[in-house]
Amino acid sequence: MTSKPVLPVLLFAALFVVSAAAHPLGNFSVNQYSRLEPGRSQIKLRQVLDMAEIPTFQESPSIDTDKDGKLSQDEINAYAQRLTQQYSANLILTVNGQSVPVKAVSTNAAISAGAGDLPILQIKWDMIADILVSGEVNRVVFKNNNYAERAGWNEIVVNRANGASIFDSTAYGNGLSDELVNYPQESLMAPLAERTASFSYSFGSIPENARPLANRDGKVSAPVQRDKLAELIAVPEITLSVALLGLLFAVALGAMHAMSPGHGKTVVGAYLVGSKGTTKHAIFLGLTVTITHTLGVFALGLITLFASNYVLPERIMPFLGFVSGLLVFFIGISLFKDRLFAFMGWKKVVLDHHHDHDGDDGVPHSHDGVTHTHGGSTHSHALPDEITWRNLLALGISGGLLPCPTALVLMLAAISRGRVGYGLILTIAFSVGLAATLTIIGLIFLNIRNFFGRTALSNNRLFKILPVFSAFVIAFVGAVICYNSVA
Amino acid sequence: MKQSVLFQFVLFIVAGFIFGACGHVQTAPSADQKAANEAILPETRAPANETIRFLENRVKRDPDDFIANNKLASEYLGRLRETGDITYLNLAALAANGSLKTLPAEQNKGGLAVLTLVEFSSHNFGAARDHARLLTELEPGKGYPFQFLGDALLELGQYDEAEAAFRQMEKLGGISPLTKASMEQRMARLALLHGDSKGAARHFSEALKLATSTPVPSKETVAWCQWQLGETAFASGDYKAAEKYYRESLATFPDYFRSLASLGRVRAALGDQNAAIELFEKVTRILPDPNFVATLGDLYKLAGREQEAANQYALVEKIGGLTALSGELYNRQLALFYADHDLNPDQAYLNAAKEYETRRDIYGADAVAWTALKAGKTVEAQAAIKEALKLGTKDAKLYYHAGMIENAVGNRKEATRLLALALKTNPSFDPLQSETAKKTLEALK
Repeated sequence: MTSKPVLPVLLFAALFVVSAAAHPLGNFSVNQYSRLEPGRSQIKLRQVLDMAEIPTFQESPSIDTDKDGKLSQDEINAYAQRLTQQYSANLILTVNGQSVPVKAVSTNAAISAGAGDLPILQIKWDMIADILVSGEVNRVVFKNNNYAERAGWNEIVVNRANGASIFDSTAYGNGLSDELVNYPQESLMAPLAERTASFSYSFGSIPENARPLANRDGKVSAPVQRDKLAELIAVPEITLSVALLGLLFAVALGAMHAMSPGHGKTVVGAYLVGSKGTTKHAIFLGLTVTITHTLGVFALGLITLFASNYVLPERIMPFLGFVSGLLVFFIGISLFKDRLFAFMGWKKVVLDHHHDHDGDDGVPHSHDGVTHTHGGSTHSHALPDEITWRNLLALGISGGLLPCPTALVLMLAAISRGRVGYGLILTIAFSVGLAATLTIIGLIFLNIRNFFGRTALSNNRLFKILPVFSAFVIAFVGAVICYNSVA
Repeated sequence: MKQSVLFQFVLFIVAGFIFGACGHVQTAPSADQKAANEAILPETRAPANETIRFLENRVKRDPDDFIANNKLASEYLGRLRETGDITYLNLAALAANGSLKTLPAEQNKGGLAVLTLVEFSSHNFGAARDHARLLTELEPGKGYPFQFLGDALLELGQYDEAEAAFRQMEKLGGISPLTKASMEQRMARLALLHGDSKGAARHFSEALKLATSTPVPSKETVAWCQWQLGETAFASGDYKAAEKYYRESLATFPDYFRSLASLGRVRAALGDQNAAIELFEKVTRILPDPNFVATLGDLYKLAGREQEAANQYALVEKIGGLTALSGELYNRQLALFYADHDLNPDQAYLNAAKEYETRRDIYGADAVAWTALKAGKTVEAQAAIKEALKLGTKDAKLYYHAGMIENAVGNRKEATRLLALALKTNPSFDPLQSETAKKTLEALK
């Protein structure tokens, strides 16, 4: 008796595996995604509408205006345009109790193939809502009244951008569906039913006892709100001692920050070790990083403040990352090539050679990179490029080009509190701390190299290949930075 | 420790099915309209979403937590009953199977109970019956397994066994109002099948009273009882009373899809085509059930909106083909739709006949009869409609189908009698078909 139901159970399970894979969310669902991004003068809104097979079919008569039974791209676009006004009117947004109209700035519609050879319609909007009265702290309430009767996945995400602090939010800081592209395939997960959201935001630090914006796993994604640097700015009054303490603290933070992953420590080390770097080079590198980093923070801060309606800082960040990665990569490649040639004893092909005379290390250098023989053993005592100021500068720029978010927040916090000058000084101090650490790391690398250089190891062939290897490391790290910023 | 947890869970399940008991009975005209709404377990007292998320997280952390899986399955079934959204049926199936994978049915009666309900809602009535039987053995002295068993037997057309199971349930059942309510529901269902609409109405009223008298009445359950009363009134042509019940149901549970559609149908019966169209447009947005979509098409057609009607008819055909499950759930609906609209007669007959091989209820026989007629198989049609009428069910649609079959074989007298009976029982039983019935009757005179 007990074994009897086994077969139906199995059959039943099989049936469900098939149907669940075909359409996990129900083919009559209308699914929507909203991403709110509060800024100083406006709230940006990304809306995605994903209609499953049946609703798309139900709408088809009004999409297919030429009645040819097919949904052309022109018809979809026209339908999306017609829909836009009503759709945005049904997005109810209030800021500090005042209702704010939502306007669409771009509309994108696409059709893809669903189950049973039926099409699926997806429309994406970028929208903005201008805030009329902005306070120190703004309370935003959002409600999506579109397709209220329809079953479906409804997701709302609040995105932190432009240096805003978001807190006391009923919505989460991250999404689950990748803007309705990949719905979670977890076995047990009822569709999200988020149609309303409310949250507060400000450009200062968040109030006591406020709950910062959290991700769906309950974690606060990036603790920008309670930033130590931003807290330096938030002191009630700036006295001399406070200022000095703040400066010291900023330097320390910068130094600590340099220890965190990134910032080209590997690159700096690899470069200085491989080339005949000196203390002077290391310091020059540090200075370049400081200046670039400070300028970078200022520039990005300015963009965030004045141009955020046109360019998003988070769009620039990957680009800057890519550029600095590219710089590092090319330095690495050119070093690698030159050093490999030198190591193998090949004649250098490149004739164009910069004369960067800084032979204060007492090592004679060659202008043409020719290797020659003393007493039977082939060696190159003049690596072809040695340290060039050009490479050093590029390296320094790449190290400082990508501003640390911490420093950016500091700058924005300073501006929002009207303490621009103080913020500037703190940013410089932060950059100095950052650069100092990099310089010191560089010096440590140099000393280690010099130590080994004096030993018998220096004649070891393996040791000689080290510069070649370090050039390879530089190129590799550059490629990784490029990849990361693109990905 | 384990024993006590198990005991608690059994209590939960028992309480659960009792709570949801009302939401389980079908009346004759709607016996096959709803794909997946027959589940029993409770609507949640806490906000449904929060309870579901809580349990989902629990299962995510510990997939072996079979108790959480069982509770989750019953929560999903509750949402299914409220929304008709098959998504929840898929989820409930996953949760129930997950639970039974952790702990086999012998030690996990709650898991077996939810699986039985999932099977029932998936129209997998044979499996539901077998599992309910197993449950009666694992839970001797308990009433609810017999309720499950009776419900499955009823859908399979094993009427005598179903009645016996309900009697057993009555014998073992408790004294709580909701246990009694679920009993009343089943008595009403049996009364309807045997053509006793007054008795059915009495039982449904009693069930409604019992459901409302509970400390925390489940809104959906109360709305369901009110809707059933409306359906009973509609079936006997009392449109005013029907409309009153539908509106009460909608007041209890706003936008309740069943009552919205029924209200549309009763407005159409009362000649208010515009309101009917509006209501069906709304309900097909909420739940594009093939039956609702087809009726909307019929209403468009009657209003002379041919193109819009054609669009709806095209959608009906698409829905069944979307997934294996929807094919299973809507098979009979689609066959009847084809027959009603003189489309694909052979395919419709094959589908109806195939289903009738395993599910021999009177409405299955009716589907065979009606599709056989359209496929030109009058002998089969006559045999099948005799089966469909064997219980003495007073259903205008059954009479109409019978009358049309008699007319086709040239039995004018019997055809006239049956068509007149259909129109006397429920003059506007269907917007389009009742018109055909009238025209055919006119031609016969």
